[in-house]
Amino acid sequence: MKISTLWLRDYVKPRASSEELAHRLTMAGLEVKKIERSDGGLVFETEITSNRPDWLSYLGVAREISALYATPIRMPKKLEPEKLVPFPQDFAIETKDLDLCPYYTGTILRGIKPVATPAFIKRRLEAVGLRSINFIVDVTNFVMLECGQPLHAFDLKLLKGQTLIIRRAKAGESISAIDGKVYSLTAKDLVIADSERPVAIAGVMGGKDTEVSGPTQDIFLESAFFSPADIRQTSKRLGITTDSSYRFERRVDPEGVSEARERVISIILEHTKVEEVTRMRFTGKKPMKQATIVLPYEKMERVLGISIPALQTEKILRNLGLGILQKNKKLIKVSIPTFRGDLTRAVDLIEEVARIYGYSRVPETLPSLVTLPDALAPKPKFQMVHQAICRLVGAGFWEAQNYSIIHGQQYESFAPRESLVKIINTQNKELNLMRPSLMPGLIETIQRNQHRGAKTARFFEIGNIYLASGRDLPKEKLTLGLALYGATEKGWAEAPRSLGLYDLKGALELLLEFFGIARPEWREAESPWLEKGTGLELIAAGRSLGTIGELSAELLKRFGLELPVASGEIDLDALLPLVTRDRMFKVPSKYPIVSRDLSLLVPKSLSSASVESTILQEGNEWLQGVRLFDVYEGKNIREGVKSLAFALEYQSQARTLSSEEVQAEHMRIAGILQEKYNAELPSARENA
Amino acid sequence: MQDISSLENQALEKLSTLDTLEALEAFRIEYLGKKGKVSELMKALGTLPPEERAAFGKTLNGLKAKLDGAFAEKAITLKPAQTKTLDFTLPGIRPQAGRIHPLTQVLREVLDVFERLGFEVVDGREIETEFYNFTALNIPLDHPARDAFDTFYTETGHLLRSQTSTVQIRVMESRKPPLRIVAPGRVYRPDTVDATHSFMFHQVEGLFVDDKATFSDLKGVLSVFVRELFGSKAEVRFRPHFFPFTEPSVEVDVSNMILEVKREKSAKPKWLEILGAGCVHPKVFEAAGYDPAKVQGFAFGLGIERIAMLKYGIHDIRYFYENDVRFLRQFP
Repeated sequence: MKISTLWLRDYVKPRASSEELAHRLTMAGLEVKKIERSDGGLVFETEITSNRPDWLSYLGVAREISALYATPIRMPKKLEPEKLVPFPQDFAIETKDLDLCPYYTGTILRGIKPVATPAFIKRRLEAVGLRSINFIVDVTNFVMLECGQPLHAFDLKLLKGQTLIIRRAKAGESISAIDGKVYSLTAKDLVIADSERPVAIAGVMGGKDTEVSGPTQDIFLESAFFSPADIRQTSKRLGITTDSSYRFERRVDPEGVSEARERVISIILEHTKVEEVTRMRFTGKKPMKQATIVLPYEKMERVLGISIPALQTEKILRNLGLGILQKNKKLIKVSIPTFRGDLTRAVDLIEEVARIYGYSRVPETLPSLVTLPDALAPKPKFQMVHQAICRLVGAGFWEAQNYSIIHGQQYESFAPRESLVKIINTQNKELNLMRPSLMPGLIETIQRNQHRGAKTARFFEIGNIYLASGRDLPKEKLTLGLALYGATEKGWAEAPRSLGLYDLKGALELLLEFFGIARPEWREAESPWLEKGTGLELIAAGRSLGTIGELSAELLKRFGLELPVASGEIDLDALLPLVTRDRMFKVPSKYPIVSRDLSLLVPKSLSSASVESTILQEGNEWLQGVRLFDVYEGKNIREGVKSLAFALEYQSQARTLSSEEVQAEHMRIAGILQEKYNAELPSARENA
Repeated sequence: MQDISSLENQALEKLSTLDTLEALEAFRIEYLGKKGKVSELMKALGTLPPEERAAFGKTLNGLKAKLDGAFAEKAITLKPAQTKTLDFTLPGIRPQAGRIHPLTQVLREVLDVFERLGFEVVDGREIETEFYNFTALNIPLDHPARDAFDTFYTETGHLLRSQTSTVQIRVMESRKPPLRIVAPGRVYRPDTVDATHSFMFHQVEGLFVDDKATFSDLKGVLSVFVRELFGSKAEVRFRPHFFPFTEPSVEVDVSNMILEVKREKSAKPKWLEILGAGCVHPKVFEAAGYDPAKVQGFAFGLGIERIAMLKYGIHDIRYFYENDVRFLRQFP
């Protein structure tokens, strides 16, 4: 809400400059976000928290300043009408729904001599961004800003049937409002209606047909208390927020209802002639809240950590407008004024005292820490994530963070229909799917980088994917996504090398080895987003952990990716139980290693892994390691056949092995391979 | 057969006159090689009578050692000076190291401080129920306070948490006090996306509960945190505010004198808000199953993106989710 300092000083005159005032208010919880110059003075733009509707008015702010500076408020004068005529008997006011409108009051004014809005009211309104409309409407707006109670005036002659009914709208009813729009109403909306139709959306906006204009001379002046929850609901449903609905939503002061109405009459009488002013007619009763709170001093000290002297506490509470009912060494009992509906319990008072006293006067202490056994348990999931990040970054991958909510239509195919978690109230209609896979985000990341000229990149992401679980809370699975493209950079000392699927495979093998899974299994797999024949499924301890492969040509085309991409996803929740950092040390042998190479020609379809595992299986305790170092297919080798070359290392724990015995063992293994795989051995020779 | 001492003199004299590597090599062959003079003497050892062998052998060894030593010294002086040159300005061959995302880096830093202050890191689900996100936090459906925590809903009637305090409630339900926890994670708010707002961001919320935690403890803990993160000269101020789940409530600002924020001269606030906090509201304790008469506590929350933007002078939150390598590269 905008507060003009010139206007404010009509009610309170603190001994402080406007800048100081703004700071002091901010430090008391009434935040002044911006200070602007407007028409001869300064205007504070305040941000009022939802628990302080009483600050949505000049008198409310003045009250706060009065408490902070211990300076009195100057209440606006109220001109009483010389004579009040009775409210007309034949004009009926009826509230059909007391829970939606607990208290409704009104007065009729007849024969108001039309007059221009006085300059000072106009200036005040314009200083805070409100347009001047006509005298009567301007006065109601002025008073609303002054005391926080919204009021509405109806042109009496335009009301039909000498009656006003405060009721729920009927199905099918609509109203043409003063903003020029037509609103369809439901039974959830409260309206003020005459005998024929709704004439106002209660507490929110008046109807065009009965609005007061310049020449209007007879008015019905409404001032009421509407149920905050219902005003809020209607306001949200219709998409209308007004100064009026804003205040009702936060709960107005029941005592202020009549005060405001009388203030409007007073200002009208000040500036023009009125033939008749009636007494008020009302329905319902003022909804009063619990009126007293006891504050034990010991509790305040226990909560704050310091003791605020009783005398000071009392003074602060009094300055805030609270009534002191009882006080002694141990406690203070206060009555809560009707404009402080936010104060209901002792901690609320503790906050009031502390903020006026000054939070800066509370010292900084550190709490004592007792050992918490629950907190000592290890956190395997956090550790796994942290270690995975470190390992992958060390292996040259860059961490990406992508949105959890993605384009539904584009990415629905990444999971079965029944697993999709859809968002129903997105602002951006297209982003309505909780990601069922990390791939969309990573593919978009790659696309963005490729299109911006990055020739190569290696990404990983660790985060949740979301899969529906019937009507239960969806499953959130921790997942690792990887994607890369391009080639290593060409440098003055090295030639570039294309990056691809095997770089992903290698990174994962490295990661798994770190987690204690030494020999994972890789199986051919298919996936809708991978190019046929490039999909690899990772299996460990008999469970599938995920799939990697090359992105399909179709996806590359769809995303406009020039450079091919290798990517994959691993289920970290499934990996977690397999992770072990247990190790058993083996004494390294002090005897020399003897290396021998083994080349063989095998059918193309034979997997190198199976040959390798046969070697490991058949080798005796001398065999320390097997490493595939060459694969050759093509020229110089006939069709359907490929050459594999392995480096084998032999070592004994007990003695130096002789060249002859190693050779014999090596040949024995070669012989087994020859038989088992029908392999040809062009050479099983000694390492140079 | 030459005697040893005259051979020694002859050899040393000859050695001192040499001035080329070729001549040195010729000397070596002549005196120290397999068929050289010293070798010949060694062979002659066998022809001597036994009682003379020991003495002769010892002297011969002495000669050999002396000549070997003199030879080595001469070789060093004759070796040409180093002529190989390197261009030391050539860039080092960098191993291809990756990057940790700046949000992860800042999160790690923040959690690190709180862990040192005695807090335990906990985790929880992102998609939640009405109860954990609103009801248990004293945010009634029909109150305007709810607007600040507006949230996304799924088809099944669940919602995306708007703050990680949902995790705190769950922990309180499953554990007895005392408690010191911080809960990091993604949160969601239907904000229009612009340079400083995103519909998704990362939060860390903390909770300290025992039988006597005070407002002054809250101030102390958060002041330590701010100074650890922004430097010992950082100033902190506690400004009254409102949250439905705390009373008293504060917003914590840090002075931007310390922060090397790259801003235009015109827009330079002195205080930047980084934390919301307060003493836990009795209603929250009740909803979680704690007796408000027996426990006291404080809670706080901060946004990781905001901290990262302040620390690094990043003016647009959207950079974090583009994962452009030109952005990520700047945070090794």
